[in-house]
Amino acid sequence: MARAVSTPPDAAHPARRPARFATRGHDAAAAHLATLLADAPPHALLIVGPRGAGAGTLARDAVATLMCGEPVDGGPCGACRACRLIASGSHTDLVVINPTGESNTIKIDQIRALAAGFALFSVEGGRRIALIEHADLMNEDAQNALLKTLEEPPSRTHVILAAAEDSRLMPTIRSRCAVIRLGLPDAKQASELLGERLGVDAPTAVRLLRMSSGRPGPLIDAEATGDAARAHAQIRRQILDFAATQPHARLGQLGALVADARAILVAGDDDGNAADGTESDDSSDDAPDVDAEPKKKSPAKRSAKPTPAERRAAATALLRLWRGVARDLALVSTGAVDQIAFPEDRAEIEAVAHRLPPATWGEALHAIDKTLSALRRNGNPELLLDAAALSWPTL
Amino acid sequence: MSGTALTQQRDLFARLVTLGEEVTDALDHTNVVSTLGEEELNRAIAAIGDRALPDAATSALAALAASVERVIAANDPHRAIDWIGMQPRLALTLLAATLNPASLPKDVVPPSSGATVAARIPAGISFSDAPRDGRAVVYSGIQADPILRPLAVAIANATPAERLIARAVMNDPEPTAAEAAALFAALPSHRTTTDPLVVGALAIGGKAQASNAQYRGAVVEATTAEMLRRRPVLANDADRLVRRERRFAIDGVSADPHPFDVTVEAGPVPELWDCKWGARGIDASLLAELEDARIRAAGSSARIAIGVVAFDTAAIVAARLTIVRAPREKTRFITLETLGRLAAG
Repeated sequence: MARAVSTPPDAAHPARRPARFATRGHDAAAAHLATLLADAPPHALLIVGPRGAGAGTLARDAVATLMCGEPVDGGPCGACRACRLIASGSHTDLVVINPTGESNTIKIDQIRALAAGFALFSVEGGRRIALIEHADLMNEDAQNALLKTLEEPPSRTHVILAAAEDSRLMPTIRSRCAVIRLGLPDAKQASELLGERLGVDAPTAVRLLRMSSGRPGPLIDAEATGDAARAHAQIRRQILDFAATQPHARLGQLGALVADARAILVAGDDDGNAADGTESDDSSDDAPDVDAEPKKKSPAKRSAKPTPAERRAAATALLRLWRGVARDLALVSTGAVDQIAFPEDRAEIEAVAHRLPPATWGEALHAIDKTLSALRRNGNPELLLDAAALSWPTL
Repeated sequence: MSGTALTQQRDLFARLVTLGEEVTDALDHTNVVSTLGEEELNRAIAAIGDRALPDAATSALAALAASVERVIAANDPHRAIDWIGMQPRLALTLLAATLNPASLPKDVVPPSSGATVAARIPAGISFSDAPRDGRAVVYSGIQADPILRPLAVAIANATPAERLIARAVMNDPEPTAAEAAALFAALPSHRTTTDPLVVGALAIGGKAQASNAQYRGAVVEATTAEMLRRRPVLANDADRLVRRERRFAIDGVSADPHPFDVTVEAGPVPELWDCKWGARGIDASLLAELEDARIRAAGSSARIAIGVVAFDTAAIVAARLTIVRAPREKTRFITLETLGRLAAG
């Protein structure tokens, strides 16, 4: 089977996002998807994008468009029976697969069930579709099982995969999919989306978006508020103050900082989404995409005593934020003030950064990176934070 | 001058690494720890540049170099591995002590919270003395050595920098009073050779190699017990509630493969502590045994706390844990810098 290759929008297919697409901030990709589905819907479509950036939403738009009985403007009509069934989550010809269990992976049984379902006739008489969210979390056996379905797809069936890292998928799966790649959503549209969904004012939406590195998904998932943005800013300032704090006093403050970091997890720093204001290159994170089956995590649902996973997530969030501060200090100390992630802290950052040589901040950034790396390799969160606090530069 | 002193430290460090690498079973550990140490030394050399060092720093670095030379001369790769983790941090500590004393860490003793009287241990959990086999008889003699308690008290009262220097003296094959004095003189506290910490460290370091390791282990246990006894909630009955070499049973059935070094036999959550001289002593079987005890207790609806006290720096213990594959999420880790947390509960 020939590999389906995606193409960017061109003059014949103007970049116009279908009006009923839920996806925001990816106009060109949305228009390209609409064109692709209208011309020759691929039997396998892979949408790749950073977690929380909208790949899951675009995949659902693709599902809705393929299922819709009377597409409008390249997108779903939103009114037909199929659209209503999808909206209510009860379309019998749509199978949604998500990672399950403690391992948070998609397992072979789920894919076998999908293949068995594809062998049956369509209940509604139209297409049968499988939406595999977080497809990069399929384990190897599941991927091998899926490959068989992709190699010999039953007629009028489609498999839509949404993934953050296609490198985790077998090349043989990738080669059988039409691929659409997303970057971060347009910042203006993403901020507007946050304003609408979270009910926050425009400046708060911008700050929240910055804390989640431009990914609105985790923020919407967690129903973030202005309090999260304020907690975020407070932690940044405390870290900035660390340089003027004696090492033993830093150790004493770590407990409170970790507790605060648990609060900002609600704002989307958990599950691997960067909190340092920069785009994360962390390839080992397993964050669920907010756009797909969002898992609500309100503060009230968090137990007083954190679980090991929560402790690790909080330490990761704190270290990511710490990394963001270290990066800003390193940038300012080398004169690249305009590139800092948190411009609202500029005065404080400059006050600290220029008191030590640029190399010191570069090494501090490197040390935090190494600490994060150790944490991913199953390092002990509390010990790593202790070591990071003790080795942080002192003015 | 400063460049020479620090370059000498780096050369000695490289020789320690070469010696340590002879232990093939510990290559992973040696690699992660030596990488960390090399970075620290290079960072120090770059930061100091050609700046002249204070006399106290020069003397202390010379004493440190002499100690490392003795470790290399003793041709003991296991001791060398311990020093690979210690030497760079010690060199940095000596530099910090003389150039920027304010940057030296102090131990943190967070305010204690909770009841003022220890609760009873949960029903079903019991502790008993370990059987007195041959090893236990020998070891109990070491534990009863009158040198240990004053040294444990001194370590408990010392700063992390002082503990680190004491640690080096205790693991020096043939420590000398003059060199120990030079090391301690770099610190703001200026401990003399009559100070209990220095006297105790020299005494432990002076033990023959065979008993030195056992004494070092006993020092960590004694210090752990000393710290735990300082908890306000245990204060009235500390000697009875903080015990050594005890076995742990659930519903009368032994729940451990060997005795735990230090136990806190009070409720609502009794504690089991294992004590290690160095991070290298933390291995998968140790962590699995602690976790196993915790799970067994949980199986009887009882909670126990488990932890490891490593008389090593947080950075080295953290590095060690990145290469140990074993459950540790419920295990507390106390390091040389954070012994005070034992006293806080």
